Amino acid sequence: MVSTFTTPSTYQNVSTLGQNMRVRAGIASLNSRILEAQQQLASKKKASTHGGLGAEANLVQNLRQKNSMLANYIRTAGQVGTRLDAMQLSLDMVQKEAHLRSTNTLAALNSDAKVQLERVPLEANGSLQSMITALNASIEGRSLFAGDDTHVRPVLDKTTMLDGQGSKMGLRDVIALRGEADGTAGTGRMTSTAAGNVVTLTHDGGAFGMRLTNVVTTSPDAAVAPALTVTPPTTSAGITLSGPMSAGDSVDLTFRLPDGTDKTITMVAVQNLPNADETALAAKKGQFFFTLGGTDVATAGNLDDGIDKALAYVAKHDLAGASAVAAGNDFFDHNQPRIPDGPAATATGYRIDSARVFDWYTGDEARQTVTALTATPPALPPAVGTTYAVDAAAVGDWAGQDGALATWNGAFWEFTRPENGTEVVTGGQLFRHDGTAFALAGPAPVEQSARDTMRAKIDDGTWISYGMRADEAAVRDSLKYVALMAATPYDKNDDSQYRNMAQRSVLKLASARDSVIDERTRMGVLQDRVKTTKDLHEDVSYLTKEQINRVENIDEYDVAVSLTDMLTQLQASYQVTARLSQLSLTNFL
Amino acid sequence: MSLLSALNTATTGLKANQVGLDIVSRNIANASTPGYTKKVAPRENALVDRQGRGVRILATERQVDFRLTQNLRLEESRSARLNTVSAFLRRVDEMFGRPEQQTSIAYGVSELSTRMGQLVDNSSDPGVRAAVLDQASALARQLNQMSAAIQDMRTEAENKIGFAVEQVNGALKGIEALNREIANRTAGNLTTADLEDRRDAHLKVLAENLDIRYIQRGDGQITVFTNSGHTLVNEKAAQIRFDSRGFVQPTDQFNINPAESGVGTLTLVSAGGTEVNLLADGPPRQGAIAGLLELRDERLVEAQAQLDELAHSLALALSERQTNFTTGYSADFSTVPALADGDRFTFTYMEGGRERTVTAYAVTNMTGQSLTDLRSRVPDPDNAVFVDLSAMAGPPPVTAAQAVYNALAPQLPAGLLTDPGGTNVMSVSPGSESLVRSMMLRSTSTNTLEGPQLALFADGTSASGMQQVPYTGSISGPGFAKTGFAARISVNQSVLADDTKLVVYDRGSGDLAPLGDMTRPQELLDRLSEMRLTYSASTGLGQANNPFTGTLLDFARTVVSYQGSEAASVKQLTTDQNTRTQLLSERFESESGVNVDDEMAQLILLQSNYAASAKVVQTVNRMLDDLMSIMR
Repeated sequence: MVSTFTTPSTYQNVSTLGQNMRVRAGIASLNSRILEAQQQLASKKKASTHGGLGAEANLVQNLRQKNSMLANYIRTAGQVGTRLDAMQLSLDMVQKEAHLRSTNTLAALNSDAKVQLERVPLEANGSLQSMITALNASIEGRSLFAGDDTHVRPVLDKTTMLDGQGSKMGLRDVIALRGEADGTAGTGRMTSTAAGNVVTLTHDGGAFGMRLTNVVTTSPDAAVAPALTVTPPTTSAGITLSGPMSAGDSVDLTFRLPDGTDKTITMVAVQNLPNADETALAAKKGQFFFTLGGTDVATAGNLDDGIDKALAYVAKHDLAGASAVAAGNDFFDHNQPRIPDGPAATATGYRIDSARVFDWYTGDEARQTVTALTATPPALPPAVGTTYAVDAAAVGDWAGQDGALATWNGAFWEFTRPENGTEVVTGGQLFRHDGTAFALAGPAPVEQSARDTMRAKIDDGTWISYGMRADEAAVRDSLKYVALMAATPYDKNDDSQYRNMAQRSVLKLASARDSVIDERTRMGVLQDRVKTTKDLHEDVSYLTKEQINRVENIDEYDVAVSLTDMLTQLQASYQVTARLSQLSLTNFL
Repeated sequence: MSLLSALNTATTGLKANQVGLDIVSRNIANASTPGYTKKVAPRENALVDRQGRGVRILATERQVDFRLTQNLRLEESRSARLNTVSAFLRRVDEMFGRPEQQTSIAYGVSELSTRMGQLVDNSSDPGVRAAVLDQASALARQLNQMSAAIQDMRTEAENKIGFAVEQVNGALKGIEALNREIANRTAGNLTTADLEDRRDAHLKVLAENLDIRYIQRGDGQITVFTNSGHTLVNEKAAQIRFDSRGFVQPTDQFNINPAESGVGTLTLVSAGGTEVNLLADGPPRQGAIAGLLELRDERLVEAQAQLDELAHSLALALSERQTNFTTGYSADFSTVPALADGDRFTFTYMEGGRERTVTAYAVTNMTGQSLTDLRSRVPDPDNAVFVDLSAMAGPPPVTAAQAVYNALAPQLPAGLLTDPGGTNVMSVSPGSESLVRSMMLRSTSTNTLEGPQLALFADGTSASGMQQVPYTGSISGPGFAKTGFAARISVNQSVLADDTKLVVYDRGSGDLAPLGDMTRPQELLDRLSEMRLTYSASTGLGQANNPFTGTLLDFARTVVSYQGSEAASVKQLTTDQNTRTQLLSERFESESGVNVDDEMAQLILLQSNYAASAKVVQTVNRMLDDLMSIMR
């Protein structure tokens, strides 16, 4: 009894419940789509879950992650940029002061007006103050020139650096002590003695004073063979006079000064000594005179007297200047400053004593690396500056130096006695001095180069190194020579030491300034790279954001139009439903 | 022929139309009752003595296409499964938050690396250090919470299976009773239409929970089977038993053996009392129960595995001590700490022009540990070997190098490595050096002073009152450390107590790095954002022979989008399936439902027929009166 109320091609029948449900389902689905569109319009987002974004969920997360990373790189680049700017400013100050001091000092040295040189120590004092301030610069609470030890002020304040504090010595004390050790008030730890026809020059041993490195005899008359024979120079050298000598014959004596430079003086044989003015003028040029005696023995006696005077002169002038520079090297160039070991006048080696002398640099620094810990000296000569840790029962040149550090200075071994706790690294092992000898402390700690103490990630897998330490050569040398100019005592009546020191320092200061300029150039390149990278990141970040918006956000126009469409459709559905409900047979019965 | 027979015939017409009216009224009254089918009362020409004697009403019938209902039940099963799965997965998807708010776990990892980047630039700034620890804690908490949410969902699924089983049992009992009644009535030639409607409602309940098959027998009874052919109802109804565990944790996994299973099992108890483990022998494939089982034992377990893998990789990547043995092509095991469970020695070499990495995993004890089990716990099972630490102790004692060699050698081309011969140094054979790419030992560092790695994360949250222990990723033992680690991960308390540990480490021989040293943050940053790791295939990402490889950020991101796209694709499937089910359901309604207009038309017919029959009675009556008046 199936009714054929509807067209047979579709359903055989339409049940009222089915029809009703169908209308309801249609309207409900339309309603939910309208709701979704409304939500999209309200939030401006396509979906409220990752699933809702479908296949693009991974993309959008990727983009967002990329963007947050870029934001981080941009922040890092900005921060590094600021730090580099601050470092540039500090280095600019160092460079400027080094430049001023080197040019002004050079002018003063070439000027006859004493008053100019008089001003150099005062000006150097001011410059040193500015440089220390610049090197102690910190930004966001981080010291810029302390390597990775960012929370310390790396450089000692000026007063302590120059004058020390209490019983602890500063640079001035170290200069004075070194002067005493070098015998600047005497004959530079050299003695000259005459015995018979032999004049012997003897160094009292050790690392201080001046050492004879060469003796050359010349005669103005080439045809006449030199009347002198010289035994090879070591710590002592003998000059044997035999046979007739004539006026004009000369002996060149070359001394190695404590700052590593050589000074050659010429002893010229004369019949009669010139007057005082001529003598003084000749001394400035390094010429000293001795008179010819009747016999070799008498001439040897005269040569001995002449050499004594010459030594005293050189000690007071060249040696005093070189000694001040050497004191500067002792104070600035080593991890721990070194001072003469024991009573200065008789000291033969150095020692490290942190209780007696200030360390000017307290930031992070690499441990001293030694070539080896051994008891046997290497074949001579090793490279200048090569340092060994001397093991127990040392032999040869190192005999008796157990537990010391031996450094080859180009002419002889300098020995430094470490203090308890001094650490050296060799062969990947760390050795710590226990007061008598170096003992193995364990594997060597990881050391970083000064640059690597501060690194920043400015791109995927791209790190830049921008750390600096105030004890890097360029900066350190600038500081050292300016500090020397400030610390070396200036005596109005006798400026021989100061003048000599200044002469030695001024050119090195100029070259240190050039190294600072090199550093600044390198840093400038880095700054440019950071800036370029940052700009690039900002561009990419902008594009990424655009892309995220494209994926996540709706096109409001699109959604609004489709919403209007759906509303119209819903309205139509309602109308049809209303009409259909009228269209029941019940209404017509 | 007589007037009286005409009168009788007209009376049967009146009766028939009354019955028809009764049916129409019932149809109209139930027009909007779901499951109600249109009833008709068939009638036939009543023959008495081979002569028509009016109309006879037959038993009321319903208009139902048996095959159509069977199909509908099948589609309903499918819909129910997908609806269940889809509803849960949507919740998992929502757990990751709105895309633009960046609250998902992937952003958590990315934010940690961002803050680590800030720490690199400002390692001496206590505020930045605190910010890193904050984010690390937030990330650990997020993992804890998500893990808890997933286990809550598993627990919910477990409980829902219990309810569903109760519904099924009720329906089975109902069908049993109705079957009996219908058989009785059929035998008595009585109508069974309404009882069949009732029985269909029970079948629908069954189908929504399980995928069933059923056949109708001659006596009107139906027999119901599971998809695998187990009888659910014949003369008597079987019952399903479910031993619900109430509360489910990550370590509670399904096992085919009910005694070892951490979650409930379905047992079919037949009318005769025999028991069948349904999950072992033909588990339901469709219906809500199938969906819940799929969630409880597969999809949510997989989601948990992904979180665990993320937590595991995060903790290990930051804390692993990497010892590279590239110099001299020999691995001297005396220079490294003793091997511990979970340590991995990777050996990379060229084979047939391709790079191959074989990893030797150290395990505490291999005795009683199945190799398959161990393999399932490592990311690259095809290239994994295991070093038994307990066997190393002896007797006779074996050196670490020898033990690693013994494990590796069978996997490698002969002669690539030289037998250490009892020493603690394993070397590449002379001449083979060019084939070897790298030898690296990765072990877990638990001492925060050791650097530059840092065990930033540890095992055990204070919230759950657990003692915090270092996380070493150990793989042996009955409980795999990784399982459920997402629920337990937390920031190492010793780092929380002293945030300078993010920076300060022993650079060697007691030389502590100053606070401005950025080596450690830098290493941690690189490990978070650039180090490529291999992830276990148990996460559903990648296959065992081609595992997913990428940075932690990549993995976290993939987890989020994987769950999102799973939810989206199941939602799509669900929509499609629901449309199909609805179409079929409409068709069923159309064929078997009530159309009020139709019924009204029928009413008119019945009314006029009734009127006509009444007229006949009236006419006969008058004729009889006429006859009587003649007699008078």
